[in-house]
Amino acid sequence: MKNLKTLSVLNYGALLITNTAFYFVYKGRAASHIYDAIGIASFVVVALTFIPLHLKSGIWKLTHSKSKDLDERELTLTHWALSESYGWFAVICLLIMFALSLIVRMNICPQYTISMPLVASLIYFSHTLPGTMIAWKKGIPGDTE
Amino acid sequence: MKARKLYNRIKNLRVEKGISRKDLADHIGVNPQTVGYLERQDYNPSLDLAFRVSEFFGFPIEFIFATHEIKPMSQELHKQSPE
Repeated sequence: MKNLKTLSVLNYGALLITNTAFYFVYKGRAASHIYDAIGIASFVVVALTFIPLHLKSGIWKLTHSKSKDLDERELTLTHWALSESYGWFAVICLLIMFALSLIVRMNICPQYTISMPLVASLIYFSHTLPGTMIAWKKGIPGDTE
Repeated sequence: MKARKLYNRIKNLRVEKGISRKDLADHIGVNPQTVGYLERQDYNPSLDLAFRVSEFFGFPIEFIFATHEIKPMSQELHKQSPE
């Protein structure tokens, strides 16, 4: 479970770094190739941590299965994760919109609009947040027989 | 309202019957991981699932599930036997 928590932090931390790096690329900083490299490297970290965190642990299957394929414990767990992540995702989206409006209003980067990496990250985030919540709060203890 | 923890004898009964978690899971219609949760007493089953477990083992629900910690059978029999 501790391992899954570490992977969750690495996964979303790398996602945040990817977006920050690509923001600076968009902003046209002088050393944009460095930001490019950081962005791509952190994207690789996102992909590498996604495999053990969501695929190998079986959490992805749990949150993306049809309800008829889940038993009562899995349904309760998935229902909890989906309802919690629904609220968190809405708050995070509103905070991003607020930050973007500040970026434009304060002339930090007036030409900045919602970029493709940000939208892709939000799609990824919406799909992985319920699973990450399960990994964080409940963990997936293996079958120890 | 916080649900009370339910204790059970599922692990003992399953081991006595000599079946695996997967076999039990197939019979009661859940995932083998859920049987693990039930045996560790980390999950309170629904009434329907509790009935399925009791029907499978052929014992009344109150023998398999309890709201207090279940002592081993040997300890309970030892208590009941006359001195």
